[in-house]
Amino acid sequence: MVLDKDIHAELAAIVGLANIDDSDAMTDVYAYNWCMEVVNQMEGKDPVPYSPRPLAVVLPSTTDEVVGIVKACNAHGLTFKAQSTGLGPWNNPSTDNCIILDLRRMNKIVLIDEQNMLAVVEPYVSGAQLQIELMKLDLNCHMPGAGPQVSPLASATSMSGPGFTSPSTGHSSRNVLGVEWVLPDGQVLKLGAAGLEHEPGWYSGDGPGPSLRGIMRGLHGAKSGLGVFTKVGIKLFPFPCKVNWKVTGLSPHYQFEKPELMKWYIVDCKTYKSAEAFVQRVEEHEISFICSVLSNFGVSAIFASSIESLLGNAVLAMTKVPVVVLVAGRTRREFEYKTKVMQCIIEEDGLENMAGTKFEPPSISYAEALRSNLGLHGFIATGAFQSSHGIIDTLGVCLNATKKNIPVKMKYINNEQVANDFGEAVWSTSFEHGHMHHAEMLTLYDQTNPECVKGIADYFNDCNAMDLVQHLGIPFFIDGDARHDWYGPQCSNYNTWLRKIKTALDPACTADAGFYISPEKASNTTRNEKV
Amino acid sequence: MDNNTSGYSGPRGFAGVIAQQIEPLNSSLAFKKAYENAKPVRILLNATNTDHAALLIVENGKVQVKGIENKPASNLSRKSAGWDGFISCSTRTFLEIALGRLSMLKMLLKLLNGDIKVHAILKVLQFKKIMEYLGK
Repeated sequence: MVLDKDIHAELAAIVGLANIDDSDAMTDVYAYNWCMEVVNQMEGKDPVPYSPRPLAVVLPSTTDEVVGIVKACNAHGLTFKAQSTGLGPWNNPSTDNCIILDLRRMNKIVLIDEQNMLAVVEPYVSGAQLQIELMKLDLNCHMPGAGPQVSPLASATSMSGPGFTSPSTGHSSRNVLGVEWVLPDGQVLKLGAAGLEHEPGWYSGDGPGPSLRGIMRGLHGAKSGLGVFTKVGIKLFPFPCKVNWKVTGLSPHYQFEKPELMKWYIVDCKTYKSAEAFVQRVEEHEISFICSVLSNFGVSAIFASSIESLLGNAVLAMTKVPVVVLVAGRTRREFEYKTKVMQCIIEEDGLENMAGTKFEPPSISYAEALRSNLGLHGFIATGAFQSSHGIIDTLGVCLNATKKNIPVKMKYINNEQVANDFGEAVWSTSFEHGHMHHAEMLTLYDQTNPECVKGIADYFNDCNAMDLVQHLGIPFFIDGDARHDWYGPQCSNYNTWLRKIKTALDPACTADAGFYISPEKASNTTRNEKV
Repeated sequence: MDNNTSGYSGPRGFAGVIAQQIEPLNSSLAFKKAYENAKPVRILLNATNTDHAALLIVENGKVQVKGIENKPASNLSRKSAGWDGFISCSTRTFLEIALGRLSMLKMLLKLLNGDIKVHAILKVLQFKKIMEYLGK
């Protein structure tokens, strides 16, 4: 499809001619995304990394411009898909009748309230940008697990939200302190204290009146299926250690002069049962900045920056069920208390800290712990990875799922369709020191090999089926009509209610519903007709 | 000391993988102590699904890995390569042996059905023993 010239002129009048592009080259770029080939394969399409091409890409710079674009889409029967930093297929159109709202010009940190420990940011502020400004004030933010290059706004409002520092910085959904939200019909809604008529602020994410947080994002976010978020207030945290960074060297071989009051613990618990007991004790005492259950290859990857260094971490690759804990202190007294408690737990559980004895963590791993940890390292071995499951439950359920997933994955490893990690790859973390736990199973694959793409797509379908049949929660990637309608009847018919929400807010389905759900009697078709 | 070293210049391919895994032993005091006065041993590891075999040489408390092209097959003869022990299997099986994921029983089954081919098994078992020093 081609964008009508009159509509192009109307959109150009809103954002300026320099901020709209419907050329083939530009729209092709926006049709590409990481893991799009897996989505296509899962839906019975060609396993290419391209979605339908958008009609045009529009770059608004203000909320008023977003409103104008959304209203224009409504007037002309177009759909829109908003993206912030744009990582992953959820940012792509599901139909060929869609405008991309690339929010990269909305890149301002609106407010940092040091005293009340909150920040207000626009969509294209990355976690890294925000963290740099916060560090000047001895503060920190929750960093999405996808990494410091992604948008905290997208994570807080529209996606899932666990991160490697979740034990101490929570989950994106729980850090929301209000939003500015352009609804699919172009109305602007402010949630939380930001919506108060008198003395509005950003100190509470709920109300006025009943909270709409669940409607806004639910478990894994609406992924732009309910409109566009243009501002979010987020909770901040004290920086966990000293803020002075000294980094030297060139990427990826940086050297980092680690702050004095930080210490890695790498403990091979050998069994999932032992890991569960160990993590629960660590979290009960609220002493971790990071606390992750990993696999042998996962722990090797965290401390590697290249294939060579990954292979050199043999001592880590020989672990069975490794748990990685980072302890950090703002004062020497705090640090000494935490390390003393860690030592007691390790000794009482009959375990051993490999860090500093059998393995010396590279200095840059301390800097990465403050920002990204495993995320970017998942790409080292094959250049492509994706996670399945995405459980939020007790640690017992998370680790039980990890065990049950091994034979499911081994089938595809034996077929040589995904990389051999003995079926054990997992990242499991607690939120808020054991309040809840999260587990996702990472898989490395070759995105250029159709057999591998077929393998990982079939494997993900098996994972989704396993979670449903064995009552392991709603996975990350239950999105779109077919999957919600598959899961919903087994889960309190939530799909019916989700569809009612979509119908109430977007009856014409102007906000692309491909990774959300269509309204009742939708005129716009969505993705995944085949599951 | 940082484990992330750039400018790696050792053997490549399968031999490189083995070298990366095993050469950290050269900084292990426990390994040095155990092997500095031991009789030198040369174990040839041939990954059947790759082009290169790895010759593991343990001598004077040091370990060294050399890459040898595994075609033609005569390259791998005892006379040509000078090995004391020889093991041939897929890279996957090597990985399982090296990371301690293959029990003796499973290894025996693989030997019986020909997935693993071995000459001088006692010498080859030293490979497993050597790997164990990585965790010490």
